[in-house]
Amino acid sequence: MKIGLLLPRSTFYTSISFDIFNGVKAKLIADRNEQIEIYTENIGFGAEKQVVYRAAEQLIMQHDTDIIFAYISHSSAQLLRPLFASTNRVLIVLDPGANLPQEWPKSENIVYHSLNNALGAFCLGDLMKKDGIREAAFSTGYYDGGYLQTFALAKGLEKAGIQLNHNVATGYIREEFSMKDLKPYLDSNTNKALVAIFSGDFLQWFFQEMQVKFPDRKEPIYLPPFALEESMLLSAPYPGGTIKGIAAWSKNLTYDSNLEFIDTMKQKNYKLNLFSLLGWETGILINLLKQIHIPGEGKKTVSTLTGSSIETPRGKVEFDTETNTSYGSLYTANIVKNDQNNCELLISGTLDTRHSYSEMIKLELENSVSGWQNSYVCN
Amino acid sequence: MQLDKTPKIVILCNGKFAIPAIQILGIEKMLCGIGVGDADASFVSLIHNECERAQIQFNHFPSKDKVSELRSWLDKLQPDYIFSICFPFRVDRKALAYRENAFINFHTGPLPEFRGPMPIFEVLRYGKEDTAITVHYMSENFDEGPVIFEERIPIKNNDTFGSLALKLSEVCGYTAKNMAQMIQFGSLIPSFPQQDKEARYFEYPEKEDTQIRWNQMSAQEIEALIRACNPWNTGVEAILDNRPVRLLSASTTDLKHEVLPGQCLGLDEKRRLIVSCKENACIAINVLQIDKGFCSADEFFLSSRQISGKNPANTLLFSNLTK
Repeated sequence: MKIGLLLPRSTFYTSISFDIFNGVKAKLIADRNEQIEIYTENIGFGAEKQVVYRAAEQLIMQHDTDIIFAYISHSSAQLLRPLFASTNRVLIVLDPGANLPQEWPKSENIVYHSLNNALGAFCLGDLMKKDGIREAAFSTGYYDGGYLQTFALAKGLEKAGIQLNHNVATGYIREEFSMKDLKPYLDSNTNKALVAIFSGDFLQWFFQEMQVKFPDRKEPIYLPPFALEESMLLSAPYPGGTIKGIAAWSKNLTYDSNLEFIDTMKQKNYKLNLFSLLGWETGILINLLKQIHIPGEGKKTVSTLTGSSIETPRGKVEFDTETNTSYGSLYTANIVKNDQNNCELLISGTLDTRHSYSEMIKLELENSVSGWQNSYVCN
Repeated sequence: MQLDKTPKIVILCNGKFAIPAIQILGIEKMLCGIGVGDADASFVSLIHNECERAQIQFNHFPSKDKVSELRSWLDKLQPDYIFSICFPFRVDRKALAYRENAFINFHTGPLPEFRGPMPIFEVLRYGKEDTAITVHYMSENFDEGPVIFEERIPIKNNDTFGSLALKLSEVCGYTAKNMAQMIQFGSLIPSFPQQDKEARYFEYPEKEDTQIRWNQMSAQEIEALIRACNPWNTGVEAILDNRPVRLLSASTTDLKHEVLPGQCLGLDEKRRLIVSCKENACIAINVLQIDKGFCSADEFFLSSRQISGKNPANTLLFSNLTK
């Protein structure tokens, strides 16, 4: 079985390609699957259709790969639909899950393996409701806000009966990044909260702004999974106050699979983050595909894969037959101060997301469209 | 053939089914011409006007004979590809020779199993669970060229010809875009020949194909045929007490009977007209068209009672139409 990997670039997760690849490699070695041939192609930021298409075509036509894993957006995956349909290969989209499923029907040759960021954003409403929150301000940036995770977040809050009555959108270069417009809202009233969607450097800037501009803030902050990415939190200054959210994964999860992942990556001196996790899970999927895939029978493989589940470092991940997309447990978490006055993630509970996922995929998008061609964090 | 530029595409079409594809390729600035077959005058006029507004070339092919002018039109326009979406006429050898594999058809059903002009009718009539937009190169014979890819669409058990056509039309829109991008970015377009041993060609349905044969068809087959004929044929034809009626909507039911097929048994609790079918099964009819117009089964039942003065249950009988 020959495997292809379409790997992206990211400005603030500079090692994203290496982390994904190292995760795959580590898991293949751990499972004694080193004989599996892996071919890689770089797709830049994943925003240029031509680059993405030709890279995929090269993996299929030149290297005769059966299955291609690609960190690409929904729109890029749609671009590749006919190529995979006509060659009957399998495309597994490594999906940060920041966009909601579009109106496109599922493809028989494509599966989305997701980190469920929008699902986490959708679930924030229920978490906040349990904490007695009745109204919230929302802040995001030009980049993070361009994905439909914002829509999922707003709908989750609406479902929980939480009023979203103040929005702050900030620019996304350092000089333009500011939270000063939150001033009229953050007046220390009870039952109020701030909910925000930032990733990578933007999260660090957000915390810096909160630390400087609102050192005595009383309102809790709620964040979705990518804002709770542990490797980035380690470099983010702790802004004080209560910070909570929903995480996709943590080093502190005690699943056997997580312990194996952490031990193996540490032994090899590889990074531990959401991307190496996604790579590791790719290795898990390769192990499964080795048993079910027949070359040239991509549709059958996809049909078998959907409806199945895998045990991963973040718990059980299931593949939904309706959307060909995976969803796993999510985790409620708090951010606390570590020894360096930066942030650390503490897991407080597990969310069974099956019901929320089925609710989220039924959301009418109400003409909301994401214009970003690149996959989340590839900017 | 790698283009490295936005492809210039001509669409050959015959009705509103092609509108999503026209819109999407228009937005992408890929359209250079639209040719319309023997469509109704309002569609021809709509497309003509839109082409003028968008400065896209327009041509009308109202008959088979006019298609002989297609080649000279293409020579003038010089498109990279020609997309055929429900174009009703055979493209002649001269036009196909414009360039090898330049004509791509978007067939509204799975190939090679459902060749022919009305696959939406056929897949519904045969109770298939899914259908497809099949994208294939055109050859001299209808629906026979190598398949590039297909886009599968599930069929819901309440889908009618109309609802399925609407879904397929939307899917055809972005399938056309996908195909155009494949042309633009791909260095070659993979395709595979159709398996002729699995091929079936269905002619345009004849009158007999849209009539119920109560003594031969199961309740499921009748229900599927009714959906397959709604709305293009205004439902299926039937003869009730020697008068023609059309059945537009029906459901299968668990009710059983011990009479001959075609007997009206009365209304059920949902006010549907229950009719006996073969093998003791029943069908529940919801909507009919009679001489005075469209009516619910309930209205029909009451008016029959008023006209005859008798309870229509067990007296009204559908005649068997034999093929």
